Amino acid sequence: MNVDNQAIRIRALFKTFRTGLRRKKTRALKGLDLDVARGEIFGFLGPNGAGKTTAIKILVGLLKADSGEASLLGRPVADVSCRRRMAYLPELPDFYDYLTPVELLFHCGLLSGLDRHHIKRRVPELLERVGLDPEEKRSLRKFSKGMLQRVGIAQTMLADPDVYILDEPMGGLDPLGRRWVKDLILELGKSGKTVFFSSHVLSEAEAVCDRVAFLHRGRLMAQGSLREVLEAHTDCWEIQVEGHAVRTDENIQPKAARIEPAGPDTLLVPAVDRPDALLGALLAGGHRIRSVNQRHASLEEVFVRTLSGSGEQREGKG
Amino acid sequence: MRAVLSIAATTFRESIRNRTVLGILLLALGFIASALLLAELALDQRIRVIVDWGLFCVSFFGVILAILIGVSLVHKEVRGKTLYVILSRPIHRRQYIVGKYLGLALTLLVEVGILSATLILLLFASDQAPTLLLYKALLCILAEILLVAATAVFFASFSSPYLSGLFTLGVFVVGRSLDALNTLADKVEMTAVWALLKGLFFVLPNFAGFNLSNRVVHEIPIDFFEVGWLWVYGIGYMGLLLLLGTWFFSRRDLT
Repeated sequence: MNVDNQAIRIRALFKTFRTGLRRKKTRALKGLDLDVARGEIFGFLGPNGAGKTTAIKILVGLLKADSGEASLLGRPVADVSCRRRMAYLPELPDFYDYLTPVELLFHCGLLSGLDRHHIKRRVPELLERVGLDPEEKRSLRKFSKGMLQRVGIAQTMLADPDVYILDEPMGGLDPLGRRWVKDLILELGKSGKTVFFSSHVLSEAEAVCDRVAFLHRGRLMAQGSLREVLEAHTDCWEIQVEGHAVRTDENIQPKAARIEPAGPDTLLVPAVDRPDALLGALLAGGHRIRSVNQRHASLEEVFVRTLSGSGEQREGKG
Repeated sequence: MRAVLSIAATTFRESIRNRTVLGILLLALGFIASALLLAELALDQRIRVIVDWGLFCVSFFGVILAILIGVSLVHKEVRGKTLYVILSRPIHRRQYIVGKYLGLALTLLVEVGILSATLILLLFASDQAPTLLLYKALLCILAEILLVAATAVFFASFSSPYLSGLFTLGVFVVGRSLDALNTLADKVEMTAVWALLKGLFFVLPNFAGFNLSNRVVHEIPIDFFEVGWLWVYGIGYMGLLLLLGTWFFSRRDLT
């Protein structure tokens, strides 16, 4: 990937935490490499405890890596100025108890270096856009989780940044709220913004991502476009054939990779082979074809397979 | 500078609306007002009792508020993840600590102002105009409270709120007894104990120097130079504590 086109670049990132009285070491990141292009919607996926939040916190300057490089829009994350074009939403934020949303957003705007007049104009617009009342006078401690998430998203949009870093943006939301966040991410993507978000709910990520990366126990297990990742796990062509005669047809068996008991009369052909030859043989043999489908694994299935594959590798090495 | 002022203003707003802080302030007002009842028992010493009790209340509740708000400032924002949103913006951590401290100082200034005004009103209600000596003592109490607040922010920059509270209270209590520690150090023979006591004497801020209520009660003059020197001493310590707090906080991982 061209460096100029990179929104986020991470190389050999290591992070260890020391916990407890004995200062026991916990390795959160073990040499993470990651590239996110400008304008991409990138899903940073992994189970709980995979190291997603640690990597994100290093990117936004809340944690310091033990070693490795991390840069945002071509600048190292230690450079405070790179945060002018980035916005961050932490997981399930709580914010100030006694401020109103307008006061919080005004404060955030000033910290982002925005002009007071601009903030005054922008805050009501944003509150309306995230579905909150611009005249809301209640303090934030009286807000529900979903409303706080909306305020949190509004604060990310204040300075109209180029890169959005969202940690579990759909966490704690009801189905309507999740739908709203998904639509918003897609909208941001369409307007050319880079959206880098973490999630462990894969079905939701699948609906919005251009590219994904799987993180597990601090290591990157896979990275690529959604299409690449899913096609790499295209299971097979599924051809349903009527009747049982196909099982004993000697012309068919060499062309099919296997005949699986997916149904009483279902042949499964691996995707690496085009199914044309098999279809021709079936038609020539007088078999009646009911349907032909290409079967992909879901992102969730790919994820589980990738992780179980890594588990096997570790066991093999151990 | 704008970021620092915005953090200070937000800290002030958040602290002044905090119900626990308001509760303590109301309790403090009640305690100061109780000076009138105590004064009734003192017969010919009414004004002395009001001044003594009033100054004690201003100092005591001011210190309590400084510790309570000071140690919870950073922790509360980490817990609520507000700090993550703030520090992921183009600001330095030193700006955050200085802004927080200024907001806390403004809150304490208002609260000490309210408590002091109540004491002054009580004196007027007792047909006694407050003396210049009283104003000077109140100014020194304010300096002491701001120094306690800086100590609390310093400890909060790297430790938990409970530990920070404990450490700040410890420093305050020992700091109020520094002269006694120094005298004790001159009498001990063990080198290690002598070094420890002398070390504490030179490192910890001397809070006893800020407590001038006895001199107000006994009408012993306090000159402006002494008040000015206490403020210079206090500001010097505050600056040092904030500098160290910033240093620790800049290196802290916000997990």
